[in-house]
Amino acid sequence: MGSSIWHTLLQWAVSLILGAVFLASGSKKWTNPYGFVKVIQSYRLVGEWAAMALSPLLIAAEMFVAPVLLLHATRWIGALTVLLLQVLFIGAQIVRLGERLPFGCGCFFLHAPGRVTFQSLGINVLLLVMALYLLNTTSLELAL
Amino acid sequence: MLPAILALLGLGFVCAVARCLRFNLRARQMEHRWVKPFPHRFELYRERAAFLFLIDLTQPKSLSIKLIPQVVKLLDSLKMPYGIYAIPDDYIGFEYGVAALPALIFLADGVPCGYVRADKNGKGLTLSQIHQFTKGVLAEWEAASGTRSSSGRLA
Repeated sequence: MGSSIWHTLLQWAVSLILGAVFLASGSKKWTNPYGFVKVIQSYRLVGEWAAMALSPLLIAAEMFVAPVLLLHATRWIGALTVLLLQVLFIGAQIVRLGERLPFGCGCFFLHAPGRVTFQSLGINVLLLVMALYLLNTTSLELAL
Repeated sequence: MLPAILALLGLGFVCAVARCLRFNLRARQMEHRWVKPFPHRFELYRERAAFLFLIDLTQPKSLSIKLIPQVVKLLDSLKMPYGIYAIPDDYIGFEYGVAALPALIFLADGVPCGYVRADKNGKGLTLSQIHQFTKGVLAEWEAASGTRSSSGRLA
């Protein structure tokens, strides 16, 4: 019983943290989606038109993760979305790790040039672990 | 209840994607119309200006544009060489190497007024803070160039 309460509390805490992080990140990009196109292009992994299409999808996904995570019934969808986003971000960051990009890593601050660092990669890995935890616990609950 | 919530979220998602896509297409169009055909103009500014205004064309109603006359007056009074360059958004400036300037006043959507210097982000500034900042940069710029600035706005 006690363990169940702790699990519920932890789930809520993780959902709130992930929701807040992605809402903050998404809302920054929301004000200038074309800036995010430039960020995606600076990773040199996709072409111009792919970046033009990816930018709105990623921004909308980040913005909608917060409400989806907060609803108990849809939490697993939010966790899965975070997981996919993080796999994408981590993959891109690993490819350009240590490189100086014209707009930085594009995680939270989009304006200044900067390197893709282990620190930013570490934060993304932490978010990935949190999403995995949520996905694991919520899918277990659904199975029961 | 759940299907209704999911349908609402789905609709919101589609609207958000459409809004961002429209913004991107418009910004790209502006970039191709105003920036890409005139790289030489930008180079001229980069060589001669100590300050460069970046006017975000995608945000014609933004505060940045409303502030321009006041900032221009201020820089005129300080006899600071500066350039005005229209861009589709603030990021394009970096692509064209604005960061190489001694300093630049950074007027962009969502930020009342700020500055970027080297790799650092500046947060919103008031006009009096810009004044102070400008005077500081002017002194540094003169010390570095060994001459006193004499020109105003670049042609």
